[in-house]
Amino acid sequence: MLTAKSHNDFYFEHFGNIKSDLPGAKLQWLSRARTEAIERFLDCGYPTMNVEEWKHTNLLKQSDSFPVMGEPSVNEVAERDIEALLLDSIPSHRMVFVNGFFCQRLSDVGALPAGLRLTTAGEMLVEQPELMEEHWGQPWGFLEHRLSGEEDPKPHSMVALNMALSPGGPVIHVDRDVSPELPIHLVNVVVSEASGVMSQPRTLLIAGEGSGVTLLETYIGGGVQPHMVNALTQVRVMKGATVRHYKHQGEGSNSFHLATNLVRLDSGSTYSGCVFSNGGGISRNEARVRLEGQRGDCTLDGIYLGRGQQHMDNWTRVDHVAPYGETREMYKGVLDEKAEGAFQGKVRIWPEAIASRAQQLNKNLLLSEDARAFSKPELEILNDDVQCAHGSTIGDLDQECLFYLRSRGVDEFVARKLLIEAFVGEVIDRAPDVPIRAHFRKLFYQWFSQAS
Amino acid sequence: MSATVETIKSVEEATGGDYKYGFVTDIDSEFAPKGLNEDIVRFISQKKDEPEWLLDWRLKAFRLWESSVKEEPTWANLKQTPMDFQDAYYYAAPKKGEAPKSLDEVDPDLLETYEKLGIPLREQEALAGVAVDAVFDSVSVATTFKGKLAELGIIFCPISEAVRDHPELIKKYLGSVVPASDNFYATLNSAVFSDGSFVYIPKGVRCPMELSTYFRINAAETGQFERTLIVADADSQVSYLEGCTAPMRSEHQLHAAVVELVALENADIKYSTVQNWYPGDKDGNGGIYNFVTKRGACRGDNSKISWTQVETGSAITWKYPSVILQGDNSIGEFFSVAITNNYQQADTGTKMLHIGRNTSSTIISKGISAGHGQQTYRGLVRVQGAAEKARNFTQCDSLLIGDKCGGHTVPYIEARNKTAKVEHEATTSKIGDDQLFYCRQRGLSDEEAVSLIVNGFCKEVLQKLPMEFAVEAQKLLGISLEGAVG
Repeated sequence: MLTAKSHNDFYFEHFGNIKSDLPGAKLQWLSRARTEAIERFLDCGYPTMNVEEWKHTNLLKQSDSFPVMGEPSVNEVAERDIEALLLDSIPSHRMVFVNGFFCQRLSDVGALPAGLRLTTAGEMLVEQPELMEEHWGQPWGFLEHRLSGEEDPKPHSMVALNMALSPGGPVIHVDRDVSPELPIHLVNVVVSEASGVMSQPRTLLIAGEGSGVTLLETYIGGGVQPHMVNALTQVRVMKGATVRHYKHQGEGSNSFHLATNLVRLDSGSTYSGCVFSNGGGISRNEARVRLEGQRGDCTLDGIYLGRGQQHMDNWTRVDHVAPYGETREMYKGVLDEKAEGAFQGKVRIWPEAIASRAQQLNKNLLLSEDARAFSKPELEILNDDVQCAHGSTIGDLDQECLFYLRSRGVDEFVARKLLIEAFVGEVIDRAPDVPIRAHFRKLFYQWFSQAS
Repeated sequence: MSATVETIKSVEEATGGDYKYGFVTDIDSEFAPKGLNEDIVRFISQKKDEPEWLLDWRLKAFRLWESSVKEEPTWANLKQTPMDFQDAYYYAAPKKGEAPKSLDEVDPDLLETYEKLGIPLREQEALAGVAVDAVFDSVSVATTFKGKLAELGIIFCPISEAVRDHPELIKKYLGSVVPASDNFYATLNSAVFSDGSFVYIPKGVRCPMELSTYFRINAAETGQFERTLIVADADSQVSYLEGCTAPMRSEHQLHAAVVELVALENADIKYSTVQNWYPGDKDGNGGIYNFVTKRGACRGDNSKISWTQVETGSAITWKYPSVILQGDNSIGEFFSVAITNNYQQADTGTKMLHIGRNTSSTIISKGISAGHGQQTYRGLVRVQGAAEKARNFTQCDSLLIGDKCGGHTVPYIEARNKTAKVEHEATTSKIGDDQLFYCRQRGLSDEEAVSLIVNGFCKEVLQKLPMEFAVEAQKLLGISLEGAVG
């Protein structure tokens, strides 16, 4: 295994090679932010399992060799391959990225309604650099503030790596009071060659005041080749806006998927996020939401379906900074064979955030002897005017329910399917968009039918 | 004025001055020199007339501690001034000639101290039927009821005496549940532990009375490091109580104890604590740092260990009474009420490690935070691969009084067996205005209403306390939240 030192050298050298070719390299604020980010990463290195926030994800498993940095030149993807991976796709404005680079040929943006801008960071940095500076210039969430007073940069080193190396990705800008009818679908395909490819997609969504938008992110591809995705998605929900943000994480079984969503909510805005993960060998989906304005409303849901040797880690943190906010979280995992599932969720109610409400729920189904589940729902309350609760369960299917169904002539396979579907369905049915519910159900059926 | 505002006000009014155990007993004490080094460890060992093997054990722990001294744990949600381990006394004992043979020989000043604490040793011996071991600073001063217990073969004595009289038991069990290398404070304790209680219940014996230890820190600038070891042999049963107090002093004093419980086949140990160390004044000056390692091992099948704790004192409490459920069908329980007022901080909870089959555990934790108090429940429930049909239920609720306090919940839940059933639920809220309104509408005053609600909130845990303690605990709840809960 290579040492951390040599990894640092590798990334530093790589940064030196590409920094002048990255989009917006001539912008001073941006090159400063990138330099700061790579330095931050070099200081911290890969987060190890000793870092509390990363205690369930072992990154060292992948560091046997240096990754090949994703390049647009490996684009050999046919449209029908993508269609097959997407099942049949829902009507949408679709942008496709291959190894983190925009692929015009496969994209189908269609006719955009007035007030909706769908472009790439490269273009946006040329056209509206000041807008990009507002959202990219501030390294948001670089320090982990713990209650003991400690400020630890280590949990954020992968975000820093993305900020330094990302060639940019989609930028979605929705104007004031605009609500596009169709969802925006971002498809990230990973194509690997003989050795592991690493890609660093970075997405930005800005929902203007009073707007409403649905975003679906899909991460697929990879086949059996090892690869690593280190994604960063930033969402800014302005006053009174509504963002519905879905994600399907379904890469091949040899992949590493690390993703961080950074969400900021202004007053009276609504964010509802749902992550459906059934892919990747090792995956970690992190969501950080800050309710910065009064009466913010946040829903964070997740479904993780694991089998084989899969490891799925879900990490969330919601900060209630302003009064009258509300958070609901529901994460459910189904773990079969030797799969491992983890949920770490934290809600912090700051002293100023009076009249806050938060609900957190994590449930895990263990379907086999060797499956494992870890759960850590966490509340940090610094204010007495709150109503907060969390719950967590781990167990097998209820034998009585199975017996009930079987005594009515339903065979065991179907009975189990019914019960598992109902278990997962509770989360799916919370999604506000009906077409996406159907899409997630399809993904579930496909996953279930692949059971060995 | 609304009830809530009034409540907050009265909590603010309640000051550390209400700590009624804050007196100092003027008594001749013998100190080891300040600071901590190998010589101090040798000094303590020599004072106690310890055999060679125990000294070696202590020295090994000391060297381990020395090598980790820079790594004082920081993971807890606690804000504390760094401790200077060289600026404290590690041994203080009431000066006296021979060890007392009976209560009549005990220094009358000491007896009076315990009288003030509400533990009249004589009375207890005569009336209450509770056997008491009283530990003053670092030394056990009196143990009652020894004779009667000895008839049943029960050993209940200071641990230093047990080292002398029952070395085979101590050798076998000391450090077997909490090894010297366990954690920073346990290692420190292993090096410098002074005294504590030792209990051995022989096979098939049900201890006919409650056993009890009272700990008292008296001298200034001292740390107290007691060590308790309870072994319940097959088919035996024992209930053990522990209480603690300290004088009011402006500096922080360290209390780093280790408690080890061993339950063999079918044995049943119930361990109750009412912790009322000096919590510091209303501005957060002084108070005890209570860093305690408590752990029990259900070694035999069908054994049971139950922890009940009422934590009202200490500036900082850092304590996780745990159960290792090794034997099949063994049971672990944890019931806790913790109160933090003024600038008190508590990071407390439990660990339940399910190893054997059909093991079950229950965790009920109630936290009440007022003033600037910060409180964290931190718990681990782990089901190992072989723990078929393990079962856990956890409930932890926090009640917040006042807008400057905090209540946090950090549960770790890990399951490696599909037949296990693990459930956790937690809530955090303030006393509902509607609840108060309901009570007041029926003619209760604000104070009565809050008291009723808080008592109801803690009821599940208080019910688990032995009767002798339940009364005291309820009183303590009142004192700790004086003004707020009547």
